[in-house]
Amino acid sequence: MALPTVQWRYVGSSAYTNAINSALDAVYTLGTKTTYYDGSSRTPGSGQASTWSRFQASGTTEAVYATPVTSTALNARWIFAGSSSAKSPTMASPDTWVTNMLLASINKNSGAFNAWDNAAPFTSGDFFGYWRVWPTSANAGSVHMFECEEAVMLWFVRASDGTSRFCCVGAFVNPFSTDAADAETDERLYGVATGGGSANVSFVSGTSTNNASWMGNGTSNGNAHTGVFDPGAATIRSIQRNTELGNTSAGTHQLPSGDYLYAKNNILICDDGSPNNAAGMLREMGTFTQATVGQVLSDGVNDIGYCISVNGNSASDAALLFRNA
Amino acid sequence: MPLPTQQWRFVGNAGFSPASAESVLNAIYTLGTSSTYADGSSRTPGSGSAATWSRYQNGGVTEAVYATPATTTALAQRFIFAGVDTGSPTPTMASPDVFATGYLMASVNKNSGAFNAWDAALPFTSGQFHGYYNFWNTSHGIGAVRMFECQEAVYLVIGRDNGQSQHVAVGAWLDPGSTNDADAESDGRLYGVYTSGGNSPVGPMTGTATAANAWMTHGGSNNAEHTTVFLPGGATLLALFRDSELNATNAHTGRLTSGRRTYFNEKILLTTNTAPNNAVGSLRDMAFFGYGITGQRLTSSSSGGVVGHIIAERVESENESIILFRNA
Repeated sequence: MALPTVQWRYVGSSAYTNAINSALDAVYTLGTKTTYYDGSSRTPGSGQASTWSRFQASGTTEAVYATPVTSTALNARWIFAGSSSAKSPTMASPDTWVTNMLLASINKNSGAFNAWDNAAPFTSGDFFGYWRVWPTSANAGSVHMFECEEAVMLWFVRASDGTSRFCCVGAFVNPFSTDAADAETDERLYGVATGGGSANVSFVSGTSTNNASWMGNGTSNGNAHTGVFDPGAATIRSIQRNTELGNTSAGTHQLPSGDYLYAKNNILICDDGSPNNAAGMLREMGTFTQATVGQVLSDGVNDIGYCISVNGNSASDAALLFRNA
Repeated sequence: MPLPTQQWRFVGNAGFSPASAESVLNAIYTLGTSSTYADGSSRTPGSGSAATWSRYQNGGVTEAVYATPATTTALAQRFIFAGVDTGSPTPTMASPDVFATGYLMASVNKNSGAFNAWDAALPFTSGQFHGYYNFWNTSHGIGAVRMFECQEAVYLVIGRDNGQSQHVAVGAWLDPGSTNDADAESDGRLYGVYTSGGNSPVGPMTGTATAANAWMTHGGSNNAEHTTVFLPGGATLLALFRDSELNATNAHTGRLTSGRRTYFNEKILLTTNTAPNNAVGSLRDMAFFGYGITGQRLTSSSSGGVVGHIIAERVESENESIILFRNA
């Protein structure tokens, strides 16, 4: 049975200072919003909106976590965490713990929330381990949240120059197969993608092999990483975007008339390593060349999709998340 | 209004020997007039996906084959393939290609009238003639022609005995996704010609679009690869370039861990080949497919039906390939 079509929504943006708890609070603010960017109603726990919670230690936020609105058989939970003081959470190789770094992860077959830096943050099931996303050294800015029924994408944009960091967590890959070698028992793949804690996102629709590419995978601590759980296991399969554009100038998705040409479900994800088996397609996403983070592609009446981009201030290499409504 | 979905069919192979222009043209004609598809199913020229083919012979020697596609659009397009092994005709070429004996050429005409002469300025009496591009020459040796057809275009792969191949497509194979006069002809289409070139075999089909002889790209020299369409409403040509590509394109990138094939009706974007590289359209019912061999077909593991037909860099061993969707 085919996976359901997901509907991406743009929640909006929320400002943070160069402090880890501030960035986490900004994520929580967005996660608990009652409206989308366009003023339409948003109810956490319904539609596309996850239900978000926050963990604070002595009033300082150290983690925000969420239950996606579509409750699949594998009970996925998302978590974003970090601290300015020493901790020892379970990291996903090759990344290592460091203070003042926002981290992202996912858990499947989850129980109740336990502790973000525990080996089993959700008591039971399989914990992915954390990958680095955003360091406080990237300074103050705004986080943009895009959500669908089964995944969330966060984009951290630096206020001073528009450079960005990102992460995506959830069932964002469609394996298009029910074979046990290809998909979990609920036909999905669960994973995490991050631009890495070391560098700004450098390519979104262009080159996929750069160590800071969107949906790319580098092998060093702090590089971009993309991975999903091996079906039925807690081990991680490193994957990488395999579709890319040869030219990502401003015109490449714009017809001579000025209208835009776009396609969805055209981004293939493969193993990052020989023999590069396919893992699936990014769900309801498409290449789109130049735009800014949070720009909306509209047909004049309805939203077609929302842009994620290398830069939040000026039109740069971008991709589309489709609204499908 | 969206363009109709195309149903690609694999007509089959037709070998040719000797390695002459006439021999290849006769092989194309044999396929064009075939009453069956490769799978043995019935084929009726002029209906379904099958164009109606004709042949021009001069003193018993075939010099051209031409066709009216099954779907008659408002712009009355015609396909033509031509060439001679001797003589010095002066057909209208599309720049930068030049005529030479022993080369085969392809073209398209819009707003066509009756067939006139393949080497006339207006081979179909009226309308706008694209001009010929070269796509094969006798030095490639003997081989076989593979024909794939849909309602509004035809795609030929001319395989060599060494496995390399020449590719050529004519017709409305590009969907502009717009009915604006700046983007599309009055019937919503774009008409054009793609050739892998008169000399070198087709290069990367899913990988680097800037590589020499890359599939659906455009080189600026005689006998290079060319991809062009008519500018809407005119006779001038617009050079195009494939902008979508895959990073890794080895034998497994189209295969899931289980070994099952993954495919998607992806839009392969073509843009102009000069700044600002505006989008022009997407290839109709084609998609990247990892590795395959020309003429292979993908069938559904559930229904057993044909999902699509494969065109690839080579005709005897797996390499970068494209799937043409059957859509039936």
